[in-house]
Amino acid sequence: MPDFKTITIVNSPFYMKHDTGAEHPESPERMTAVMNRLLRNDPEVRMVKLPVELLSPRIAAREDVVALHKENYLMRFEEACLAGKEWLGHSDNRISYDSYEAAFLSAGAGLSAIDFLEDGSKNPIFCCVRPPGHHAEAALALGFCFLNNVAIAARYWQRRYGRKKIFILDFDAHHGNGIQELFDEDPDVFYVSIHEHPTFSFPGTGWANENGTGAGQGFTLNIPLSPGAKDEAVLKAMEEQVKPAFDAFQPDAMVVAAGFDGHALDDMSGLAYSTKLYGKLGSYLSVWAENCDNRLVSILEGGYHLEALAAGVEAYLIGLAIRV
Amino acid sequence: MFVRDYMTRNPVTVMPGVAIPVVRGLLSDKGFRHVPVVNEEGRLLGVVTDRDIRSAYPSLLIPETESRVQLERMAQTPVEAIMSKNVVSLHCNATLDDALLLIDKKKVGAVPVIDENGRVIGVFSIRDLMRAYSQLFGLAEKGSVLIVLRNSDQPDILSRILQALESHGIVCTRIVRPVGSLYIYLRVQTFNLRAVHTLLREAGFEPVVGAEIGQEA
Repeated sequence: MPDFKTITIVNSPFYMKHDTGAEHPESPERMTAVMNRLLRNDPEVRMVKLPVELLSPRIAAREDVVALHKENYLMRFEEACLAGKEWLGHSDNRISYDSYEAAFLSAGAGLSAIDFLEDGSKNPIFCCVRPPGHHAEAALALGFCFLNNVAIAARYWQRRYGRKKIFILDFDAHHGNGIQELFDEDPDVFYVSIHEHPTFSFPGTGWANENGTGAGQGFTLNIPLSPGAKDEAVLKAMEEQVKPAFDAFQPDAMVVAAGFDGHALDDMSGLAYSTKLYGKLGSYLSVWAENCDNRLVSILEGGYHLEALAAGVEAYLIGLAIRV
Repeated sequence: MFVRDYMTRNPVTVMPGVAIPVVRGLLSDKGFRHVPVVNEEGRLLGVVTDRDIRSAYPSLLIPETESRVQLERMAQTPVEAIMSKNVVSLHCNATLDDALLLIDKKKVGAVPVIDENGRVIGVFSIRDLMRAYSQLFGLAEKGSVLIVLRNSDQPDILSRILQALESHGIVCTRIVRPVGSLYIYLRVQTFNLRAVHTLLREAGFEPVVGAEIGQEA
């Protein structure tokens, strides 16, 4: 029997209150699917029992959010929710009365996770949150995202705990334009994204030649993959491009934008990953994390095929938690 | 669609009597590679490129004494002696297509743009051309996605595609159907790829996804 580290899951039932209406891919059922899968521990569906503990997220403090987002954008967002508007900026970005609070609670999960690790935990920690965040920019809601959860967590880690150099890996099928934009000129945050090529994919950013600007030049790495790309393309990129970048940067902490929409079954991208890939990514990161004293927080981004999402998260966490 | 919307307006020009080293300094200061040569009325006489200037300077390989003589002689030489005459130009009503065809045919990097009276009012470069077409095709326009559909010979296929999208509130900014192509390319402003594929399938179209996209040759 393999031996697992206990996995801490940061989740709140309040995430279900962000109501995106009928037939929206970014649905509350995504939370149910993942949480059921992780907590069920049914011997008929799983060979091994994953040791899981739950942590309640806190609501992100305004100062932690305005470290990256504009005040007037937050006011617009809050007002749109309270006024009963159906969307923010674009009809993709559906909102409901509770969306503003849910977004602050989603951003808060990463902060709670960081506090938990800094309090002495060495275990893998996963923020099972919605709304997602990596497309959100300083004053722009985009692609179902409102607050940039990953970016807010990275900045918080620097500000609150003095962990200067943060390495962000984003393996969502889509480029995290928001994370890139927010840290474009920042040499202390290294952003790596592996995504479907921008010629074919939303949001049309993340070209291979974009590698940061000004002082941040060389601290962004975009790895676009052709439509139909499989596990091998990602693993090759991890070995040949991401690992050397990680080794050279020597981060103090890592934040992972964990999106599972590159799965072959997920129709929100043209990538064709298998569930196994996520397990392998988890294994890589668990080894790399040892170089930064296991300061690694993973935050859910996309993943819209409910079964593939739940299986992908589970595989990823097994990869992170298995003792080798 | 007009070159005048993308050209550099009121470009720097030189008179034919200006000495070569002065023009060299101008090009290197401004980071240009081309400068139109005009008469008192601003009419086009020729173009000088950084390559014309480099050719006019003595080779680094010849002895210094000889080189000095040549440099002194060149300092006295007006730019008209080395400029290209009979240069091509674009009229202010020229389209981007005119510019593309001309630049491709003549293999030049930039072309002066002239008004009705032959006066230089702008310079249009290959970079302007790339910028213009990038903008027209929506390259790097944040928040959009490319949808590929299988082409067919139905005469009303394009209008039916647009109707399907617009009736669902999906904004389509580009639709390209190259002659003889197996595919039709759409650029739509949404992240909800699933919804767009579903509505297009329901309207009788066939979206091409994943690895199939790369197999179009």
